[in-house]
Amino acid sequence: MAEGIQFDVDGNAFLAQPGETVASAMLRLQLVPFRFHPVDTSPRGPFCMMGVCHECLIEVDGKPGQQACLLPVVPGMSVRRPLNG
Amino acid sequence: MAKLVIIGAGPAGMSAAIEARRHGAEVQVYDNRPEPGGNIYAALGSCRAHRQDVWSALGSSYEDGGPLLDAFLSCGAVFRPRTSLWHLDNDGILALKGPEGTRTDTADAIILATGAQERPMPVPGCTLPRVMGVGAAQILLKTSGVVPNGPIFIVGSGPLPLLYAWQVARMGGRIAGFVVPNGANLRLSAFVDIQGILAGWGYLTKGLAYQVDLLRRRSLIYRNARDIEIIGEIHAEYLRFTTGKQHKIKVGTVLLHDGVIPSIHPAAAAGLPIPYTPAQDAWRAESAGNIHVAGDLAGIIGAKGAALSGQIAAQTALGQTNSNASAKLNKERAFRRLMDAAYPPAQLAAIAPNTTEICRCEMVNAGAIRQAATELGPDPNRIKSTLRIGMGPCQGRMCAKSLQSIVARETGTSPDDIGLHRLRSPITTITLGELAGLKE
Amino acid sequence: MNTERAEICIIGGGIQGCAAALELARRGHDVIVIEKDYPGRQSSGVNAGGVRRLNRALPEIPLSVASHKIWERIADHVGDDCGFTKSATIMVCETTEELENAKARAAETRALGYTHEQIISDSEVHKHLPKLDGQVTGALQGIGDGFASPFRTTQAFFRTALQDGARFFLGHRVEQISRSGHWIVETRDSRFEAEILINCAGAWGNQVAGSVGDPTPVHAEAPMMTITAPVPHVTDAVVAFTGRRLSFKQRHNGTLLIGGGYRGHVNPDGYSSRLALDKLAMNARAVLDLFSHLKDVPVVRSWAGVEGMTPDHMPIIGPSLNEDGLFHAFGFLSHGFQLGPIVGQILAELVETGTTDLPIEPLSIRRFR
Ligand SMILES: Cc1cc2nc3c(=O)[nH]c(=O)nc-3n(C[C@H](O)[C@H](O)[C@H](O)COP(=O)(O)OP(=O)(O)OC[C@H]3O[C@@H](n4cnc5c(N)ncnc54)[C@H](O)[C@@H]3O)c2cc1C
Ligand SMILES: Cc1cc2nc3c(=O)[nH]c(=O)nc-3n(C[C@H](O)[C@H](O)[C@H](O)COP(=O)(O)OP(=O)(O)OC[C@H]3O[C@@H](n4cnc5c(N)ncnc54)[C@H](O)[C@@H]3O)c2cc1C
Ligand code: FES
Repeated sequence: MAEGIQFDVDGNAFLAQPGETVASAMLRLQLVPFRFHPVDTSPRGPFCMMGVCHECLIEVDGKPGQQACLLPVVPGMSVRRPLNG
Repeated sequence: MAKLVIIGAGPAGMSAAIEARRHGAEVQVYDNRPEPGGNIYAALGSCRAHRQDVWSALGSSYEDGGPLLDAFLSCGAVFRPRTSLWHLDNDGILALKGPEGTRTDTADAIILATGAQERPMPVPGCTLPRVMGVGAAQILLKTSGVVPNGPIFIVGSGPLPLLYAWQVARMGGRIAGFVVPNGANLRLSAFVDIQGILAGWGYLTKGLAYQVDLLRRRSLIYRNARDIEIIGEIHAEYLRFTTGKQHKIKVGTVLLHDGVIPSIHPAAAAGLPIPYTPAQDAWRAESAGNIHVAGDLAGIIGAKGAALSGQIAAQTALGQTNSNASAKLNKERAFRRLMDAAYPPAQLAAIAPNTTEICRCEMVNAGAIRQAATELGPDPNRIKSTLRIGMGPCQGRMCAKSLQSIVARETGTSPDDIGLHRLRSPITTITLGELAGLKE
Repeated sequence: MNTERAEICIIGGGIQGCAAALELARRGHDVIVIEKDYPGRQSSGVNAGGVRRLNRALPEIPLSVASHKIWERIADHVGDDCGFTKSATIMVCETTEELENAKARAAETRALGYTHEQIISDSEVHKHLPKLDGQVTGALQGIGDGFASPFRTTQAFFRTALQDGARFFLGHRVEQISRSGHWIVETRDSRFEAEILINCAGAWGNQVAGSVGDPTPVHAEAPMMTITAPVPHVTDAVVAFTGRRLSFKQRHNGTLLIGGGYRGHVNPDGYSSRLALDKLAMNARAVLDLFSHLKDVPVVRSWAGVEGMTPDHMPIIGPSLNEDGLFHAFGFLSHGFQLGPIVGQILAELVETGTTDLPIEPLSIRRFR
C-alpha cells in the first residue's frame, strides 16, 4: 500500500487506501464492533455500507454520530469508537 | 436557463444530468456518498485509479460504467458528493447537508434518483457485527478491495449473491457456503436456463456457466433452510439452521440478501405517491408536480434501465420527448419481469420468530409488532406511535418493509392495503449545530 | 346508508373527546365518538406532554388545578399511569426585570389562594441546568407539575372509554351536520342521530361550530417540535425561558424534546402541516445560544401538530348560545393536553345538569360575540 493515508482509531495509528471510507478501512482492519447500542448495549457494526441503516455511527475528530460508511478517510483523521457508552 | 436539481448519482442520476446538460439546463447533482456511481458503479473512479486488482476482478458489468462516469464528470453539471437531502417539501423546497454546511435550495424541477437498498431480511442475531448485506459486502469490495473474514456464509438468494461470489472468487477468495431459505431459490442448477436473462441484465459474460459451475463445486449449498439464526457475543460466530437436520456452523462473516427495493424515503417524505408493487414485493415512487422520479426508485429496473429512465426523466422535466429511449426502457422492463419471477423474495420477515429485532434503532421485535397488529389493526401509523418502531435515526428504512410483511400476514390484510408509515424530517440525520446553521 | 343512534354524539377523538366519552359512559350515557383518523393522530398524540399548571392564564387556573388532581391518580382513572412523571417545571428568568415580574406573578396567584407557583433562586436553577452557558436570576417553578406520554395517554382514555361502553367510529370524517329535533351528523357513508352534540374537533372545531351557526375567530396553527438522539444529562426539569422562545425537557431515555412556540405551515387542505425550516433553525439556535455543548447532537425528528388558536389564547369551553344540546370544547393552542381530564368531566356535568362547579364563564363562546 504505497499511497497510505494515516489516521487513528482509539489512539492507534493505521493506514487507509485512497477512496476508502472510515467504515471500509475499519472493516479491513477488523475493528468491530463500532459501538454499543444506546437502548440495549448490544454490539453493532456496519450493515448496509450505503448510508441507510445508521449502524456504523462513530465519533470522528470529536464529532459523535458520524456515518462511517459515507465518510472518506482523510490524513490525520481521529476516530473514536464510543464503546464505553 | 432552467435549473434542475438531481438527487442521487447512480446510473439514473448521472444519465439525467448528461441529458439535461445536452438541452442546456443548469444542473446540480447531489449524492450522499463520497464518489458518484450509485450502487452498481460504487467507487468506480477510485477503484479504476488505485485498485487495479479489484478493477480487473469485478468484471465487465462494473467496467461498463466507466464511459458513463466520464461523460457525467465532463458534462458540465455541478456535482456535490457527500451531500444528503434531508428534507424535501411538496412545494419543492430542498434542504441539503454536506461538507459546506446546511442550506436550502429550490429548482424549476427536481429529479429524485435515490436508487435502491437491499431488502432487509431479519433473522435472529442479524444486528451482530460481521453480519452485513451481500450488496454491502460488494460495496466494501469496490471501495476497499476487502473480502471480509472467512469463512463467509451467504444467507439468501438472488442474482447479486451469485455475482458477488464470482467476484470474490476472482479476488482469490471463497464463499464457504450458501444457505438458501425455504421458499427462496438460488437457481444454481437451473442457472444455465436463465443465463440469457442475466446476460441481458448486463451481469454476466461469456463463460459464466463455467464460473458458476466452479462456484458450485467450491461452496457448500444448503437448500430449504429453516429456523435460521446467527449466534455470537461481540460479533457473529455461528450460523444455526435446519434442513431436515440441525446445522451449527462456525462463521467469520454472514452476508444476507433478499433482493433489492427502491429507496423511497425521500420521495415519501416529499409526499409523492408511493404505490406497492406485488410483483417486486416493494413500494416504489411516482412523479408528481415538478418532482420527477427515475431509476430504481421508480421500481427496480437494473443499471441499463436506470440510465434510460434517467434520460427520460430529464427530457420530461425539461419538456422534451424521445420515444426511442422509452422503447428501450420497455425492453428492460420485460427483462426485469423475468428476473422478478425467477427470484421471488424469501419473505423471512413475515415468519420471523417473535424474538427477532425488526427495528434496529428502537429495538422492536417481531412479537411486539404481531401483538400490536392484533390489538390495533393494520394501520402502521398507530403501530408506530405505540411501539416507537421506525422512530430512530434510520427513520424506518430498515424496518418499514418488514413491518408491512408481518402486519399483512398477522392480520390477513393484503400488503397493498398497508401503507408506509408517515415520515418525518430530517430524512437523514443532521445535528442541532447543522440545523442552527441553515442558510437560505 | 347506515344509521346509528345515540343519546350523545361527540365529534373528535382527541384527548378532549375521549375524556368526555369516558366520563359520560361511566355515568351510564349512551355515547358515540366520531373521529376522522384515530385517537391521538392529531395534537393529542404529538404534543410535548407537558402537564403543567405553571403560568396559566388566570381564568384557566381553577380548571388546571382540578385537572391536576385527576393526573395525580391517573392510573386509577384510566388504568395506565400514562408515563406521568413529576418533575421540576420552571420558567427561567435571565434579568432582574424578568425575575421581578415572576415574583409579582407568584404573589398574584398566591393572593388568589393557589400554592403551586413559587420562586426559586439562581443557584437552584443552575442545579437543574448544570451545563447552562450564561447567567440567570431565578425562576418561577410549578410545584408538582411534570409530563406524560401524549399518545399513550390519549390511547388510555380511548381504551377506557371503550371498555366503559362508549362507541367509537374511527376513520369517519363528519361532513355535514343538520337538525330536525335531534342532531343529524353525516359522514361519507354513515349517518348518526343524537340528542346532544359535543364539538371536540380540535383545530377543526371552528368548522364544526361554524356549520351549526356558532362561528368563532379560531384558526389553525402548526406548532413545531424537535427531538434529538439521547445525550448525557442536561436537565432533570421541564424548562422554559421567560425571555426567549425556548422550552425543552429531557426524557427518561436521554433524548431532548425541544419546542418554543415556533410554527410551521398548515397546508391548504387544512388538515396536514409542513415544517418551516427557517423557524426550526431559529429554535436550534435558541438551544445553542444557551447550551453550546449540544451542537453535535443529532436531530432525530421534527414535526408540526395542527391546533386551533383563539385571539386570547384561551380555549372555548361551554354550551352554544344558539342551540340547545350543543357544547363546545376546542381551541386549546399548545396547552390543552393537561386540561383534557377535567374538560371531560366538565362536559359530562354540563350534559347532565346544564352547569358545572368550575368557573367556565370566562371561557364561553360569548366573549367572541
Ligand atoms: C447494494 C446494491 C448493490 C448492487 N450491485 C449491483 C451490481 O453489482 N450489478 C448490477 O447490475 N446491479 C446492482 N445493483 C442493482 C442496482 O440497483 C442498479 O443496477 C442500479 O445501480 C440502479 O441505479 P440508480 O441510479 O437507480 O440508483 P443507485 O445506483 O442505487 O444510486 C442512487 C444514489 O442515490 C444516493 N442517495 C440516496 N438517497 C440520497 C439522499 N437522501 N441524498 C443524497 N443522495 C442519496 C445513493 O447513495 C446512491 O449513490 C445493486 C443494488 C444494491 C442496492
Ligand atoms: C407541538 C405541540 C405541543 C404541545 N404541547 C403541549 C404541552 O406540553 N402541554 C399541554 O397541555 N398541551 C400541549 N399542546 C396542546 C395539546 O396537544 C392540545 O391542546 C390538545 O391535544 C387538544 O386536544 P383536542 O382533543 O382538542 O385536539 P385533537 O387532538 O386535535 O383532537 C381533535 C380530533 O378531532 C378530529 N376531527 C376534526 N375534525 C373532524 C371531523 N370533521 N370529523 C371527525 N373527526 C374530526 C381530529 O381528527 C382529531 O383527532 C401541544 C400541542 C402541539 C401541537
Ligand atoms: S453501514 Fe449502514 S449507514 Fe453506514
